[in-house]
Amino acid sequence: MSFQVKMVGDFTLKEEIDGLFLDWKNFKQEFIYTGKNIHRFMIEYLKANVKGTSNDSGKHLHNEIDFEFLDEGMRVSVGIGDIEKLNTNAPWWRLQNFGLAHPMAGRFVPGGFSGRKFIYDPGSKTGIKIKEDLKYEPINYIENAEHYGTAEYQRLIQLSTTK
Amino acid sequence: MAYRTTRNIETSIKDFLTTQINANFTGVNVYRSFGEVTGNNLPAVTVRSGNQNHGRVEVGSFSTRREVIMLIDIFGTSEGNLLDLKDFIVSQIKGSCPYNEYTVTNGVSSSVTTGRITCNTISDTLVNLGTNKSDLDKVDRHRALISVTVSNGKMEA
Repeated sequence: MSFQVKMVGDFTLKEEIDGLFLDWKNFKQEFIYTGKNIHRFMIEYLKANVKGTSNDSGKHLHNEIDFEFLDEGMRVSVGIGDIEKLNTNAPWWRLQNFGLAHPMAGRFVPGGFSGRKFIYDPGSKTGIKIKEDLKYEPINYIENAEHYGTAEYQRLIQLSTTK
Repeated sequence: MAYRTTRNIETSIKDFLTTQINANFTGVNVYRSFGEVTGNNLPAVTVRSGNQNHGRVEVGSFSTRREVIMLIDIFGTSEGNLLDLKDFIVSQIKGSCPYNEYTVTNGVSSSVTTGRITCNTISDTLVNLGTNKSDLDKVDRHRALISVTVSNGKMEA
């Protein structure tokens, strides 16, 4: 998910340019600060809605969602969540967001139990059969964070233009 | 018992889509809950609400106006069926629909239209679960998600 703002215009007066650049500099700081808030919102939303640890290695999806910003002078952008990194470190990010209406219905999953915990083992001849009524409810953390972020940025732009 | 705003918005949009879809498609089921969709009731559409923003209507006032994100999941029977349903729903939802206030008395629901729900932003995504479609159950093979931000335009004191 990313948000981007670019300043465009045709300026000639030096004072006007100096004033605009001071405003633009402040705006960029606020833009990045707001991006960090949206990132925090997404993390907290995930923590509140994801059930349990996401895989055997103990990795949590919320630890894999990065925040980045790019300041290119007249253009500033923020990015939340690097898809390549997520695909490598937390490939279940899509399932958490979109849900699964029928995950592995009736399928045999190889592995065994260690205490109460089931350990997946692809080579095992023993295993469990997933019940057909198991569902993965969607969390839609991306859409919800985008909704929150859009409102935050609209507010920031309103404040900046009515100053 | 009278429904509050969130359920009124959810149910109004669900009822509106049910009517529109039934008039144009055959055999499409519309549900409120993701959990109701199974392989036996495809194609299906679910309508849920996500988080809400309550913006102040003016400086110095405590009154707010809410903006709700509606999440519409579409489960098609084929890629073509999915794309047709998705585009149809987008075309219907992008305008406005009636805002109904619902009351349930002794298990019987009644409603009265008190305004309009308008769509502010809309986006649709074809759901890619990162798995081969042949490995997925037929329910999850052809899916799309439409996220719409809507407002009923009402000021809440």
